Amino acid sequence: MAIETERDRHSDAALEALFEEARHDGPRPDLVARVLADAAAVQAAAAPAVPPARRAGFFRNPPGFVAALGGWGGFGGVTAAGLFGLAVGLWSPEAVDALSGGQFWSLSGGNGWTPDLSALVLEESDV
Amino acid sequence: MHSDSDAELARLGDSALMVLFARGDPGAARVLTARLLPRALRHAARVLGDAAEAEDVAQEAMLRLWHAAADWRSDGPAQPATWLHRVVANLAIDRLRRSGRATGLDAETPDDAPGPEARLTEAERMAALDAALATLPERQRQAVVLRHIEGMSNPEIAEVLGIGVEAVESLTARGKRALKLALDGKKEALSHGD
Repeated sequence: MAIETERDRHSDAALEALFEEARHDGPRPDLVARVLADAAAVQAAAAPAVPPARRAGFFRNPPGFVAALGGWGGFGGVTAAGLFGLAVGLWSPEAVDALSGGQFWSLSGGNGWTPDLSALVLEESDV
Repeated sequence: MHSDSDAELARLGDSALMVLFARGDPGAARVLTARLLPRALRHAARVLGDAAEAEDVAQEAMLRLWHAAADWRSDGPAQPATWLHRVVANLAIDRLRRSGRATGLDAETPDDAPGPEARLTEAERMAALDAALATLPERQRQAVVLRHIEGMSNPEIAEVLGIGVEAVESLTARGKRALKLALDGKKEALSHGD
């Protein structure tokens, strides 16, 4: 009987050692990756559509001065007009002078670039 | 970044993590995977005795868990771990029945393993355990794995297997006796010897 008990104890210990070893079995990294990919896919499929304003960045939510010009479209129009005017002034100052009735030429002192402020001063002193 | 938020999430219970998962928190998925995937895999591996099949079952069970998250109630009676083990048990039984291995009668016995004079590697010891488990009837096998490897309580096992607590006690006791018998004569080889 005592021998049986000793054998039982030995069997129990051997079995418990096997159980203990089995408790440390873990998943391989690629299985973990597959499970996490499944999780991400389920979450993505279940995610409600996010309103555009929440996803908005700089371009979808312009700063105040751009918004005041009517958004990026208006801002682009004003910028294009300014650039066009600058180009006309640089490449064809005579046309601008003609449109201003010759004031641009006389104010610039005849060089066609920078207005000559002395003309204004003289004009003021005349008055 | 992940480790900080994951450490906070790790303090939450499984049910709370399920609710967070349903709200789209990827950290909840990581923590739940770290907690539950090893359990699902061990359960499947010991019942099926096949590593590749066990991985398939564990992945499928986890996928069902993710789908179930949308309707999970953090204050509900169901525990994600118990729920997952039930899914693993059912998937494993389906596979065993489809492949004709349900009763374990045609399972490979440990006789092919080296004799007592040779020390077995860890993989061989696990193969011997799987082979011995395969000789047990389905429910005995599941009960033994859940009780002695996963350390679940008898009421938890009863919930997983859909039987009474007394039936679980009987299954685990008979299963353990049968396992010892199946492994008898191999214990020298199965011991680490160190």
